[in-house]
Amino acid sequence: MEAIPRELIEQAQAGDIEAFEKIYRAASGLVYSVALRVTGNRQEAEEITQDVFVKIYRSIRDFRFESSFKTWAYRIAMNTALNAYKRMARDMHRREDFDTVIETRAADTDTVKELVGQEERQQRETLLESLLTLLNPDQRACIVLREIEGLSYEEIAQVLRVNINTVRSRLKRAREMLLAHTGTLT
Amino acid sequence: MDCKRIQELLITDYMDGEASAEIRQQVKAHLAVCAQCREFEQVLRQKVAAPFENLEAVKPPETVWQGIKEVITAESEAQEPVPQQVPVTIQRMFDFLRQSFAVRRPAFALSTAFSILLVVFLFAQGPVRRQMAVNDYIQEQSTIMLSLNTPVNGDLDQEINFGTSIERYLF
Repeated sequence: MEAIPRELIEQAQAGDIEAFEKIYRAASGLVYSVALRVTGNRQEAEEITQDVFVKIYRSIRDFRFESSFKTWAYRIAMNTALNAYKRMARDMHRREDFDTVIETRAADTDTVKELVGQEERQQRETLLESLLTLLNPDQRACIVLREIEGLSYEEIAQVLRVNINTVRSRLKRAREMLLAHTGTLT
Repeated sequence: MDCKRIQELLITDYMDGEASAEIRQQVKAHLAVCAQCREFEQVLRQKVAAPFENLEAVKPPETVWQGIKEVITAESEAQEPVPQQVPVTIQRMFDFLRQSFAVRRPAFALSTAFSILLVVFLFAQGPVRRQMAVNDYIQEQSTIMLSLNTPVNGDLDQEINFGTSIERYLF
């Protein structure tokens, strides 16, 4: 994510929608990425991204520059995405209806396959989603922030509001889980 | 360090670049002589790290921004009356003052209440003191009159008249 100048945030705090749009252009990628990797569903990720930026707009006047804007945005994105993921999992469990997600992924698969030269990319995406579904929400959050977003342990701890040892422990368990299933995934 | 400790480091701090230079050196030295840990590291990189590497950056479709813009524009217009935008620095100053008073509110309220009570007390004391002074003065003058051996049944207006205003007021 490109750095967002303080002046731009201050303009958005004063109600400047154009300034807020610039912030959106700079930060929407990370929010969407987190939402997509946590939920594994593009439509859900789009709704989460919209929800996150509406929340950011409503609370941006309260942003006091005590943490970085990036950390703040990651925190809101991750909380919203995890809540959505838990709700999806609960709904699926309650109805025992996994077709929605399977159909969504199948639709995505068809779209990608139509694109020439994108087969490898599709395979990687499928593998990635399969790996992430092995993890519980806490482990998934840590892996997404570390492996995909490239955050340090300290940054992950700040985003998730846990201590560094918890981050380390969750990453260790997540990777042990991935290692244990590698034989079935390749 | 034994293999278990080395593999714990490989799967966390070493793999993520969080280990110190000293720890990294110890791990490398161990890997140079331990085939089992070398194999563990290779599997880790191939099966756990590689799937996440060099992913394409994803971006939300433009419709997402359109949706956000609709919501925030509607919310901005719904805020009536449209507030004049207070500069952020002034807003910060107000926030600071509000926080300062919020912290000291009990002491501030106590001192204000004490000041009000003091003012009320002083004002209430004024007329009483003035009345007491007049009474004292009358008492003192009466004592002087008596000490001058003034006839008790006499006509004071006629017998005692030094022509002063206080005597006209009193007698």
